Amino acid sequence: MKLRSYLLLCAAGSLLTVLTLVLVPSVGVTIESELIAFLSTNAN
Amino acid sequence: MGILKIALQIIGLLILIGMVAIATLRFQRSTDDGATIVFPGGEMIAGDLHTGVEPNWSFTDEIFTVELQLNNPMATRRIFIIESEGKIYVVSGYMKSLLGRIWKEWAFEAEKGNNQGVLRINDVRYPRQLVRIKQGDVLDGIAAKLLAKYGGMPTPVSAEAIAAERAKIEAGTSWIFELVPR
Repeated sequence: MKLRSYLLLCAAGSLLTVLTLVLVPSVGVTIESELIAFLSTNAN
Repeated sequence: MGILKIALQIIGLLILIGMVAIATLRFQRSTDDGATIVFPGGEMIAGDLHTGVEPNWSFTDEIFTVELQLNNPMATRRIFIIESEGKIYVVSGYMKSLLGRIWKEWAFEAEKGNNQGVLRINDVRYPRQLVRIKQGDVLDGIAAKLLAKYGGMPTPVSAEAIAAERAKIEAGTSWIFELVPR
């Protein structure tokens, strides 16, 4: 993939991530639950 | 070579999306009234401000987490609470790990002197000052309560388990702060 296309893909992915988290609160809650599980296991 | 490049691009994209997700959630939560366990929230506004004599804190045995705001910089965290001998304490674990240092920055702030704050339980706000307890026999009662309440140990907790937990606290792996009224 060419650099320009890759950067466009990164921008689109970032935008989609932000919009999903803003518009679908349950996605954020799920991510936080996974983060808690990860931190509880790996922060020792 | 082509496959390696594509693999690196995919990994880079996934890391970027993960970082954007965490940054977005952190920004979203930073203005909330209250906090979640992972991300700090904003100033606590809701709830009556407590005045008068201290309550009997034993009711906190039934409460898993509470919200604690530190005033400067203003941020709120959701954390464990322990009552022991009529006093209340909050716990910050994982203090010697890199992830813990990032996750528990509030404890370092409190230790540095940003120790004025507000505790909120059941929609009541209690003005508090955090005082770190590093040693002393008071840690035995705190360790026992910590193990029983959050470690799932049967009561009475064994002396060996209490001694091991106290050693972790005294070694700085877990930090304990007393919430003193102010």
